[in-house]
Amino acid sequence: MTDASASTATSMPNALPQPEIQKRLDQLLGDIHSATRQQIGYPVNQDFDYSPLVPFLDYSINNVGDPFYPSNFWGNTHEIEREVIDIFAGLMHIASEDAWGYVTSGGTEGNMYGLYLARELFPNAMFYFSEETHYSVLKNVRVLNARHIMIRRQENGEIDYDDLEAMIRVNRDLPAVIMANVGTTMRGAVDDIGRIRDILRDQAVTSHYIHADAALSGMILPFVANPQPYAFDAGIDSVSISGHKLIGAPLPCGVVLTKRSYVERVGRAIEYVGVEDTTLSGSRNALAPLMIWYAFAQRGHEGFRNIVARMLDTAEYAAGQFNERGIPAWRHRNSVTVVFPRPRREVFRKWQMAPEGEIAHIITMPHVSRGMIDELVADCAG
Amino acid sequence: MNQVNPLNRIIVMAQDEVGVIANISEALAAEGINVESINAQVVGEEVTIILTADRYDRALYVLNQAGFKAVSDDALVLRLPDEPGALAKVAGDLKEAGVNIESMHILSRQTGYAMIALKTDNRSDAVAAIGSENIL
Repeated sequence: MTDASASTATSMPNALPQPEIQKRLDQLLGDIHSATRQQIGYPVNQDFDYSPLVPFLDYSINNVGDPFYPSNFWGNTHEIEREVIDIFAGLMHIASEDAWGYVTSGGTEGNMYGLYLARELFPNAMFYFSEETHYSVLKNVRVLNARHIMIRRQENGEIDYDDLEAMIRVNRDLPAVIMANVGTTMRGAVDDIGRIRDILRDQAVTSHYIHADAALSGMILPFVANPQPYAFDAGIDSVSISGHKLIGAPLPCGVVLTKRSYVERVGRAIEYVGVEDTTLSGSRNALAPLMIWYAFAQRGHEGFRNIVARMLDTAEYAAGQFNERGIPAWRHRNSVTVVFPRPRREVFRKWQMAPEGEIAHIITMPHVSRGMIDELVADCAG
Repeated sequence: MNQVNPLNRIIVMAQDEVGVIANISEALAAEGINVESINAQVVGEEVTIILTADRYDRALYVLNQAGFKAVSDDALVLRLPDEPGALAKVAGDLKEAGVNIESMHILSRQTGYAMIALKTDNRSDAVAAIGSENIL
């Protein structure tokens, strides 16, 4: 046995004087401020003020366990979390008493939870998702050790329904788990849930599960007049929505929502914390539900409807401006993602965007102004 | 832990640009990894590079971290026509041969072709079912 204090002494830094700590923090804050100013290609709402929540940082709070069961850890925001889930049940067209969910660490955990439920319900299922699907789903299916097949996407970003049908036909003896995109990351495409269900019916696959990745569009489609089918009434079995995207939480978080009956079938009792813990995490962030709740409390349904309308207006303006300058930009109906040919390298030095192959996109989040669009279009055309 | 079968191949897909092999070699050399063999084949706008290296797992990690699409030899890499039904045909052939698909990913699509990574529960039967002419 070695002397622990001696072996760890070199790796643990000495306490720093407070001015030095402050200097480091100020520098980092300045860097982050600069980095976020020209962000135009990521779906992050930067229009928020959470200062009334700062006093909660004085407490160690933890939402360990299922928000719908009492916890032995009293310092939690489970009640607020349940209200958040109830709000999303309304947005996702499922009755409150039939819905179950929790606030996740982000979209990936929400997708993981949906796919985990599917795997528990159908252990020998084949999982299908399009090549347009967010890369994290590959991590998810690997963690779950789930058999999976990636399906081609169409040019517009939707899954290739003919290929999906052909693949399901080959594997029609297996339950099918479909990971549908409700707004793809790169093109904002919405997979047609009705058509996917038609394929399952035509191929007589009766054991199936549809999980929807609605990271961004899950907060757009509920607020437009004529949305593509996206919710439980369209036939999904679970959905993951991000909290740090359109809602504007300042830290990564999200919501997963599913049918209560599914969760009850796969529930596990964990006596250690005295809760029926059906969530993936142990300790869970108790501030995230508070931030999502606060955003809804401040803005309400009407507030978000106005934000979405403004974002869609900006997206339409952006596509128009690109086209006027001879740049063939396009977007899907009800999408704030404007796709255009990948610009020259210099443009990426000024604007924070994520290109893919020959295309790039902007996402007209609330902080993206028409002035920014004009500047970007001029840079791309120049 | 000893590395598993250091003679296994690594298949790298990259844009066919000047210096791509030099960039791969440099990325590996910077980590002290020796390339033992390297072959390149241009397909459309992409180049497929098949290499062996003395530190297999590390080489795979380094190449992927450097932004290359590097696939281990655990997966079969197929080159198929980029058209609807091509993947389903492979799936059908495997099914008929009693081979289970564990995973099937589209690695890249280029003019006329798609590169597919395929893992099955029986590699040799999978090769026989698909036909070696479609496998890198």
